[in-house]
Amino acid sequence: MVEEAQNPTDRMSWLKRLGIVSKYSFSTSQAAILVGLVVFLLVTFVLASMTGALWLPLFDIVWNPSSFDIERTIFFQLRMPKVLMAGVVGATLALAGACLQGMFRNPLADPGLLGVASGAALGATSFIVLGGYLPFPNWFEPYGLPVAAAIGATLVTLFLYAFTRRQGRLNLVTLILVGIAINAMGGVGLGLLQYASDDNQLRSLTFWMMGSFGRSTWDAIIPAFFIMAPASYFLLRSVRSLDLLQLGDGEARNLGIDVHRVRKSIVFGVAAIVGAGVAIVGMIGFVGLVVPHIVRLLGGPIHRYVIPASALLGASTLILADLISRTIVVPAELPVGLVTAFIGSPCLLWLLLKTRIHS
Amino acid sequence: MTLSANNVSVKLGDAEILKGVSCQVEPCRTTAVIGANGSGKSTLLRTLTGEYSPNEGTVLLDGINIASLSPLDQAQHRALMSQNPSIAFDFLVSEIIEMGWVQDSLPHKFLKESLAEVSRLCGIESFLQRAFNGLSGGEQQRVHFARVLLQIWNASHDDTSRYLLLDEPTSNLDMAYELEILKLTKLVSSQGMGALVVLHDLNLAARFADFVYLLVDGRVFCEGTVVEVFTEEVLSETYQVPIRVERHGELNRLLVIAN
Repeated sequence: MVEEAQNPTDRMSWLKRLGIVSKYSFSTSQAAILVGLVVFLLVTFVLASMTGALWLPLFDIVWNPSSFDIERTIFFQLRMPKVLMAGVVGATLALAGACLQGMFRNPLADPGLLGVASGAALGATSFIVLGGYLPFPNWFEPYGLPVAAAIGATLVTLFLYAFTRRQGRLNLVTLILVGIAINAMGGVGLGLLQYASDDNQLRSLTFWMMGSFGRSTWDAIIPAFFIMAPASYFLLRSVRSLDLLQLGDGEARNLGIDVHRVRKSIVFGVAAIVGAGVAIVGMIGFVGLVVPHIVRLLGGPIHRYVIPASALLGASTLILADLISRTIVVPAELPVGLVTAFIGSPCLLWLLLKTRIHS
Repeated sequence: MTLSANNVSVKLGDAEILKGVSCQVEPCRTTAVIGANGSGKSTLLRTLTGEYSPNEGTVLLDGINIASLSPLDQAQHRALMSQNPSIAFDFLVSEIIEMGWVQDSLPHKFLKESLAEVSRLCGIESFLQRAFNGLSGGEQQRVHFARVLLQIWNASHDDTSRYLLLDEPTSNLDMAYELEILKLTKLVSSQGMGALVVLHDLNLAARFADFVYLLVDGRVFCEGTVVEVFTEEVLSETYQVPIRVERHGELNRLLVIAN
């Protein structure tokens, strides 16, 4: 067995031990695409860090820090957390989308589908409109919005869990229908709150709902990271199960998969990611839907490739979208949700058209 | 070394589908389960795979109660071929077959070798790199069969036994594919696997089975070799129609004809 150490999967044994990469290697083209996506991500990251209302000569800042004090402050305190946040949110949203599409065996599933995004949005909106009436201490003020959104997302998740548990098992149709119902209720709640809000609040609400990286400071990123990292780990672990689920629940079970456990970890992983993401950057649509599609078109649907590739492309996509939103109307900033929707909706239409022709 | 149901009763909802059924799947033998619609054939199969847990009785895999085995342990020793699942995404044929690989502890080399052997056996080497959804129904069925075979392929030539369970594998195939799947089943069982096939078509059962269980209303009504079970009295009573059983001189096998 000693000579086996030479084969490609054994070189990734540390990933294997974490349960992330299964015993299959990537095809040459998939490996090339993954490498390409890593390079693309690095390029967009550097480009986005340098470009903005103020041009930051990144290399000078790194090599010669003393002569670029202001630039350094801007870079580390403003630009960097923003770009990082865009990357993290983009990666996790695309990851969540790819996992949901795999789990639902439906290429049109979306992280907003389960109603968790609505829950988070409702929580955040409640805070914007009603927070002023509550006796919060001053120091709590910056944390209020993310905490409220996270509470909303968690409540919806618990509701989903309780509802599906009551029915004995996690039935997919029930899950989708419950998601639709929650989205509708969330819509009513949002409407009521908008109706009740004053002009200032309404403006703040509108901007938040369009999505923005404006609040991405280190204080916001670190707690989000602690929520997103374990959730992403659970999602990454399920790559092989997602492939087997394509054969149907019964077949997956016969192949040794604990179907209910896998579903649960995907549902809660997605809930945590979407909740944390919405809390900090607001509603950003289409990344979770469109990115996994592009990835599948490039290198096929096998999940050990789709999942990491979606995360990589999702990160670069949102970094680019944020770059566009920051530079297109300098010195103002367009809400990034508008940019993703502007790019994403024609993509969605094209996908729908293509799917119909296929079937 | 058998996969066996011992005095198994299974209730689904309020209905008792299986009532004290015992049966054995032995290596090197093709066992057929026949019976009218609703007699409990599929339920028996799904009890043997652990999908349904028996209210009474036990299912033993080589002497171990399957309730105490992990899903993966079971998957490495028995595989079920059921109705063709439809696939939402555009997988390659080779990727579909690879999904059957559950021998996690074995190195990659074994997967490659087994995949090559299985696809040669099923005659699908030529379209391994084609899109699965572009294949005809019969070709798709062969790919699924290859995947199921790969699942229990004895890649490392250990001495544990493997069981292949087929739930009406021929229901949406034309005659040529039907024969092909059953011939392949017969081939792998002659090489050491235990095979259990639920069949509607009595003539196929008569041709391929080494041993037959005839289920009636959730009980084993009759069991034995084809010659023992396929008598005009037994089959006529089971199916409630007059049935003639004749030996075809030239083919030298039993033919079942409904009057």
